[in-house]
Amino acid sequence: METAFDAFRTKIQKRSRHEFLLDQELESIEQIQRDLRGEIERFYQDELPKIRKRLESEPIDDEIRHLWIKHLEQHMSHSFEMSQHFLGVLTIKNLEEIVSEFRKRMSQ
Amino acid sequence: MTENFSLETFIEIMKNCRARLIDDVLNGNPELYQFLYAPKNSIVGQLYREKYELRWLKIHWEECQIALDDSRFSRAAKVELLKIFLQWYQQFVKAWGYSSSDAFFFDPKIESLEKMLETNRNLKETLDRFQISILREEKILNQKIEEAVLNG
Repeated sequence: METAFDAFRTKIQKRSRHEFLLDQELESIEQIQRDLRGEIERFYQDELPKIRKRLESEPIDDEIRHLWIKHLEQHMSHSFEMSQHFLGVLTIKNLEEIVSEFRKRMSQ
Repeated sequence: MTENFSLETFIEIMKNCRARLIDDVLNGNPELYQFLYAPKNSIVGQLYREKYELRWLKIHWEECQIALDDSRFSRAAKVELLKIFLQWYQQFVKAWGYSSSDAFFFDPKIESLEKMLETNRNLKETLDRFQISILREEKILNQKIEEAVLNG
């Protein structure tokens, strides 16, 4: 009698190397997305308040400090947006590959 | 997978550079603090700010160079990575409030760089142009800072 493990092993063996690579790629994209969300949360909840505190303890002109913090937030937010943009491109590229693989299979 | 690899690499580069920016503020990067300690509306302070921003740009470029020097990267992946860097750079110039006329460097030449990549011309020549542009801008900024300090 075929065990669940045997069935799983057969399924894995039938999968093409390309499918396996796509799976790995999708997993890696999900991990990058999770990391990015974590990084954004850490920045606004933890690092930005620390930065404010550090700059307030320095002999920096109030206006310069205020402007720089604003500027820094903009730089970070812009960099996060660009990362999200590139992640979006990456996700679309992978989905396109999956669709193309699926079509190839259907036509066989 | 070429473009995916380049995109993933650049996403990682941006992450590392953000960490450096935070670290610079929390651990007192001298160039940044020279700007922060400068009196309000001071020309020297402004120049130090530009120098710091150039540094932010430069670390993105330096991280790209590590990948570009990596022999495991194919030529196609390197070209893709450069294109992604150019896309990021154009956004960077806009976001940091520089117009193309006062952009601190090679903005007017960006189209020709893109064309060079499109037409598969010498990759090394393109890389050298980037490198020289950064060096040139650093030198000009340092000269301006020296002059501004001398002129009080």
